[in-house]
Formats: sequence, C-alpha cells, structure tokens
Amino acid sequence: MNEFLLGMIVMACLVAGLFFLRFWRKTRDRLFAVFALAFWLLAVNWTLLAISGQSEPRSALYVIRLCAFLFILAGIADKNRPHRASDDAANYP
Amino acid sequence: MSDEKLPKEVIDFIADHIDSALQLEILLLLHKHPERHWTAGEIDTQLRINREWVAEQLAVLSRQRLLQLTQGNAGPGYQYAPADPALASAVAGLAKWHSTHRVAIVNMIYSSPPSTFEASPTRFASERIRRMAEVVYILCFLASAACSFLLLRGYRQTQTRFLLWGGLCFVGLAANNLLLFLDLIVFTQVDLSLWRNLTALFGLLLLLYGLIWDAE
Repeated sequence: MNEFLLGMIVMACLVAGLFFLRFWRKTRDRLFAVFALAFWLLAVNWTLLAISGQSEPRSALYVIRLCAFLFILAGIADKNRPHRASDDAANYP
Repeated sequence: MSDEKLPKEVIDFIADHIDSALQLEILLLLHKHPERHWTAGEIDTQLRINREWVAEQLAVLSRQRLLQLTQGNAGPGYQYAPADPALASAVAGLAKWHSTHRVAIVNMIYSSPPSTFEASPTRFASERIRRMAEVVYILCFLASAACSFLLLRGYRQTQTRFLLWGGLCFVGLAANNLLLFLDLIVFTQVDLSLWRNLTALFGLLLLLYGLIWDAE
C-alpha cells in the first residue's frame, strides 16, 4: 500500500512541477520556476525513499526535501522583496 | 558469573564486534533464524527499537561480514551469513552463553572499551546520525509550515487562488513532516508511514485540483 501511495505522491509532484513550469513560461515569474524545481526535488526525494527500502538509514534523503522547502521559502522571500512588491499579483494564473 | 568463565572466543568476539546490548539482540535474533530475511522494520516490530537505528546497526553488522544484504518480498533486508567458520562458531558460542549468562555478557559489553572493529566512531557516528535525523525532520516540518503560512497569508492579502491551493498543499506536507518526526523519533513502536503518505498525498491532490480546476 505504501509503495502505491509513494508512486501516486511522486506522480503528483511531477505533474504539479509541470503545471508550474507552464505558468512560468506564460508569466516569466521566477516564483513559478522555483515551485517547479521544488516539486521535482520533492519527487526525487520520494522516489529515492520508495526505492531505498527500509534497510538503509534514510535520514540523509530528507535533506533533499528540506532543500525543496527552503527553495520555496527563498522564492517567496524573493517575491516579497519591496521593489518587487508592485509586481504582478495579476500575473498569477 | 565472572568474565573469566566465558570462553576466550566469545570474549574476543564481543570486544571486537559488539558495541551495545541492543546490537547484540539484533545479531542473536538473525542468528536464531538463519534462513529468514529481515528488514529493519520487521526487526523494529520484533524488538521495539528505533527503525533508523536498527538500519544503522544492520549495516554495521553487515560490514563486519556477519550478515548479508538480501532481497526479499518486503524489500531489501539482511540475513544471517557469517563470512567464515570462525565467526559462525563465535556467534554460536555467544548465543549459547547469552541464553544462560545474559547479565554477565551485557556487563561485559558495557565494561569493555568500544569494539575494535569500527570502534567508537561507529557508536558516535550512529548517535550523530540520529541527532542529524532529528534536526532534519524538525527543520522539514518548520520549513513546510512556514511555506504554508506565507502562502496562505499571501492569499489573504491578494486573493490569488494559486496561493490558496499552494498553502493548503503545504498544510498537508507540514502534517506529513510532523508525522515523520513523531513516527521515526518519538513513537518508534508504531508505524505511521501510511498516515504520513496519506497526508502528503492529500495535500498534493488538493494542489493538483486547484491547478487544474481553479487556477487557470
């Protein structure tokens, strides 16, 4: 069951990443590129967790996940920088 | 029961290979069922020890050529497979003595200096890895919770739908990371992996729903 769920999670991350890539191509808003990369990193994290099995210490794999979250936090901080504040809420799809 | 009564073979084996009573329990469990393939999760269920730590110890025992990495139905795991007859005989002797002189053996493990095979670096490395794991899990939770907070706050300020779905997705991911910490560090006796995966999947499906139906 867990393998099945992990497969779904990986696929959901990949598809979400593709959506963000499309939004980025449409708007050229860096935040979308950051989201796309972050969700693909999450997909890599869950793929490695699924294939590594339980017999290896896996805490190092979660560093990849942490990087993805930090990446998004950095993207949001970048988006909220004062000189970009007037940027494009309207550009969001 | 003094140490002197234990055979030298057993004393030397403990000094060279065993760092803790729990590591010994793992080795003896696998020795007792030599035909069986064990995953860290199965040993965790049997002995009620932290899964990550069990995986560490299995890797250490495997490097000491006492176990062999095998592939079973439940995924990769380990099987008892001493590399040479001397090791096999030492473990068999240890198992026999352990059944009748458990306290003496445990005392010996903790009174002798760390095993010479990988010596104290293993013990410290394993402790370091556990600490690092705790820190990484907590940071994952804090970072994902922060993402969720910032995205939902952005939604309140701008009413941008994408931020709502992104924020909700990260609520699921934050719950997933909180359960990860609880599962692997706090409540090591119960397996929360199903709930962890379900919360992450739920969050991601909310995001996909939003991206497909609402954000376009």
